[in-house]
Amino acid sequence: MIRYLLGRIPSILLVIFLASIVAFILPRLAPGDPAVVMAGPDPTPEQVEAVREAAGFNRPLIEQYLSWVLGLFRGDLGVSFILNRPIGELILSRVESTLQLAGLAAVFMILLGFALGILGGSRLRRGSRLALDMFNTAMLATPPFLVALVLILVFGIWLRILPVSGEVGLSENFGLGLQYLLLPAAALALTQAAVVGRLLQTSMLTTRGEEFIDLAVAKGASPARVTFRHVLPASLDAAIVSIGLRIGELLSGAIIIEAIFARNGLGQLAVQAVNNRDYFLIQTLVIGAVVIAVLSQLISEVVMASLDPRIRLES
Amino acid sequence: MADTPSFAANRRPRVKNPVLRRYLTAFRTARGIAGSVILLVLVALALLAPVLYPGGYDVQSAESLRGPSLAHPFGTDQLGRDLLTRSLFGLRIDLTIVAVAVPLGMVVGTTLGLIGALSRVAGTVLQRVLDVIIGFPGIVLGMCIILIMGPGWSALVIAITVSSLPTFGRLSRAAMLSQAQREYVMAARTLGVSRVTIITRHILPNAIDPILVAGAVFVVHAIFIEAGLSIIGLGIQPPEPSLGSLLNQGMRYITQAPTYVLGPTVVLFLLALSFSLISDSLNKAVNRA
Amino acid sequence: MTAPTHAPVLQVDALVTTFTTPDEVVRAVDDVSFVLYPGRILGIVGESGSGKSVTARSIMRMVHAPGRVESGCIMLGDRDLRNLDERAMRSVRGRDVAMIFQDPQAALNPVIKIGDQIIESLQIHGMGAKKAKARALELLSQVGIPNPEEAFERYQHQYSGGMRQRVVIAIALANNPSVLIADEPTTALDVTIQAQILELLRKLRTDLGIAILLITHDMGVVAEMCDDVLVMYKGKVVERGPTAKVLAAPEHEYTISLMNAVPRMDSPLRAPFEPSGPPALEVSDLRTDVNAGQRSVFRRKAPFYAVDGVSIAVHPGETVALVGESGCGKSTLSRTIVGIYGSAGGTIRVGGRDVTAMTPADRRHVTRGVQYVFQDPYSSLNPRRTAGQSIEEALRVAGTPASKIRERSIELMRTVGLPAEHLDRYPYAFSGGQRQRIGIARALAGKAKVLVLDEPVSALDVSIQAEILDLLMRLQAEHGLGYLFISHDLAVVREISHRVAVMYKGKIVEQGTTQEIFEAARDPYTQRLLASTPKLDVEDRP
Repeated sequence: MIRYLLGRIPSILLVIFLASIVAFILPRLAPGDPAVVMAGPDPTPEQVEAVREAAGFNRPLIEQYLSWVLGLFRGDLGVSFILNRPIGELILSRVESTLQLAGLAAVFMILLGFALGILGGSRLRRGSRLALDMFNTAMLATPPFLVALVLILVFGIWLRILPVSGEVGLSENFGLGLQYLLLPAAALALTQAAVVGRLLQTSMLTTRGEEFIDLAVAKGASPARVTFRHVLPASLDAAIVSIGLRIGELLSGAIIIEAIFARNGLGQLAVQAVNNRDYFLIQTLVIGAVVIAVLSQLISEVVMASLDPRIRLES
Repeated sequence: MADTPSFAANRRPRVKNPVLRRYLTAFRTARGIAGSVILLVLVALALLAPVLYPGGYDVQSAESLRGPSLAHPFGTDQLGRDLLTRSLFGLRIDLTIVAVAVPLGMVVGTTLGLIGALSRVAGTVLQRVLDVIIGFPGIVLGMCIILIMGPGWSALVIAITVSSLPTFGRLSRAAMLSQAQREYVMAARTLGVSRVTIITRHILPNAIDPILVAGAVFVVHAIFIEAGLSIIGLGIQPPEPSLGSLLNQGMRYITQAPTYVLGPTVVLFLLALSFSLISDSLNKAVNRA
Repeated sequence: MTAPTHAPVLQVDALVTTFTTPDEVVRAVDDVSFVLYPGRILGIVGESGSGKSVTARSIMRMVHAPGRVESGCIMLGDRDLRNLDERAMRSVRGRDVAMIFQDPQAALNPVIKIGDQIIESLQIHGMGAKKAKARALELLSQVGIPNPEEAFERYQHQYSGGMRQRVVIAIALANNPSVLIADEPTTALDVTIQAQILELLRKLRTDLGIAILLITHDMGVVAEMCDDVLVMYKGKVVERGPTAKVLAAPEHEYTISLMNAVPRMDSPLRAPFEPSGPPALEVSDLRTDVNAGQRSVFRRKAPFYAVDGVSIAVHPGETVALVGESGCGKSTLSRTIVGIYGSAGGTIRVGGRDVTAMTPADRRHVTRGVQYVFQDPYSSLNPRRTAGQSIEEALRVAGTPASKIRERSIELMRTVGLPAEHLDRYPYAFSGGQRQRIGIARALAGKAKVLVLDEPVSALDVSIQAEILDLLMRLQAEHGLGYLFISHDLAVVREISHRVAVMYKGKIVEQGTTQEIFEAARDPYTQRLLASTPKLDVEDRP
């Protein structure tokens, strides 16, 4: 198990290293002089030069890269020249909102995904199977922002029972905050839950064809026992790995969902940064997104490995 | 020695070529038929849009932000433009983006996977590069590319193509490596068939199934990326309509004219649904034989 | 065996099980009746598709969709299992009737501890946790698992095939069932392991007085195990009776042809072979490292020689058999000869030329001299190419002029006994035997002098197996082919070979003429193999 983890570390570090180079290079490939953009409207050449000096754009690229990365390790994320605030402070002020959104969405995704998957991976009558399949296919074809629009139209405009715009932090007012959080989290989670559910359903149905399921039936096990003790534990691999991958999708989905529900999270900050060409902010947000995506994949692999004795005991 | 009766041998299929036969069975299921009918109707409407509305998507009128009516089934937008017209022209844009980006991703990704399958070193390098791309969720990658190229059609195509590479690259490499272990490939090797022939005649045709299915699945994803980026204003720019940019506009008027977003939503949903249904039935057909 | 004195435990009467497909209704089990007594072993024997496994599943009411038990009664004592509701049937499964399966690796749950899998079958039928654990340990030692306490905590992947099958048997025995259904219980196992499992089953029958319904395709297993036997063909019972009678004096024409097709350990040997020239294929001191090339960034895997200093020669017109159990290295050896694996030492000579280096020129030489026939006729043909395309490709590579290709393909099809119009068919339209014929035709395209036959008949039913063996001997006589015949089945080897080499753990432990090996084996491993191979003679029973 530990050796399995150690074996994964070099490739993870490599991926993060390569991603940091990409995050560093990409903004610099954009057309135009970053210093001019950063210096604000109608800058004088002196102002531009001052920004260039302060931002370090006149130093060699490698030096710029190293100072950025070393800064990251020290916990110094740099300063946004457009917003004139330290990036660490900017991120901290926004992170709670996004974490609450993505966290609740992840809970919805896992609960609903497993419910859909277990239901679909059980023996069903023809009619129920058809209804479930249709629901699942429709959900797979509905991106989070469409779910969001439908939820807004139904709950916010037609029924008027939940707020559709803005936010209240859970720490300030839990009940109210939850009301604001419910629709965006549901919108973010539904499509991904359908993906998880479909994967779990497929692997459960495959597992049902295995001979050890026949052996369980031959022991006299009840259908519920067969499903929960034999089929489900042997079918978790694909679903768990996909949950890890979905966390990254949830974060990127949050960018759009925050825009639709007017929530002031990291996603909104990222859109703003792109529109403003705020290079330092972009590169830091991008590397942050990559690190979270890679770590959530790693965690899902570890969970999978610890559930499967074939991996747990051998490596 | 399986002791189950073999039904396959008793069938007399009309189409003998097993490749075609399998793909055809996909379109005989209810889902396959539903998916392809929806898609055909949408493609026909998109193709006919300039004929149906010779004035184009930018004809303005005084009737702004109206709800659905006989004259304007989807209603009108803030400039009094017919939303059905704009939705169909938007569908045209979406279909072109998908039709260019997904096949491009399939070809490039499969080629990368092939190179990765041929050489151990290239395979390892490829794996890492694809890992990096996977680290960038689709929308984030799109934002980075738009930052460089500026928003628009070509940035969207490139964003979709690049984010499809891990799917196709990994899948094709895995499929080819697993085919390469099969006995018929070994048989060809012992006969002395050349490497190139083995790959083109034996391995690729047998590895193509999962790639095709993934292609159909990825179309849905591509539609999501286009619309997602357009909704946050980084995709197709006004006045040109795409399904996503229509939603972006509609969002601003959602309290005044809630029906604004309905039309584009339905079209977008039908488009994604058609590919979702097709990929489903294709997957079943391919895995049955 | 004495005549049964007890009342029957299981009585199946006029059982019909059908499979409904869009095109037709297949009667997989068609009017099958039999009686099973306590302490007796009843064999159901038949080839694939005969309905023997479906019969077993019908009794358990575990037929997979779209199968359905149509009519008949299944009397267990005085209860008809067909009339029980599902809940009552569940209490019968595992308590009164238990089942063991063909492949123990597939039958044991990979993610549940062995001990918990045994306990589960006890707890389902109402035993308390503490008692169940004690009983599970008792069962593990009863089926011959060493260190039951330790085995209890382990998973199936930590055990070998034979041990796994013992665990499956322990699970089946947990609730002292009166009937044990064994569906091909040794087919997935090596012959020496098979002998141990069969012995265990016999012992349990004697000790526990359990009735066993043994489903098998192997006449040797029937001869060793069964008191009575049913022969099934296309869903019907075509012959029944005491084993000795059915095997020695079959009456139904199907049984007669089946018995003729079964290779026997007492049939006459082939005439000895006198080589008239140099060998067409000669391997000396060959070693193959199967870990070569498996490098990771941190460590190079230690070399593992799956073939470790093997010498063997094949002359034109001669059949040399390479015998061994799974993992002995016989397939690695054959694949090294044709250049699929690289060699780590020793030499390979084809037609006198040293081709060990496998340069492109060497490869071309090997291709012309040696061809390969694979075990599985289903996976060795490209499913997307017609039989004709597969054969034509071989001809083209062998340098046949384009104008002659069609003509030669037709000729090759005739040679292997297939009509020319089958050239345009895809592999799915052929039976297993026909596919293997196409595989042989393809190997013959380049006029090779030696064919490496890698378990060429192991995946085939016994009647088809006999046809292919006949074809191989005919081709050998007509074309003077040399065969390197790889097999795990001693009876088949005895029938077709001139010389035999026995392989064990990468080395050849004994090599000699067929007569020397089968009548005067000196190596203890060879002797063990011979002793484990089931004989058709019922009197000879262990």
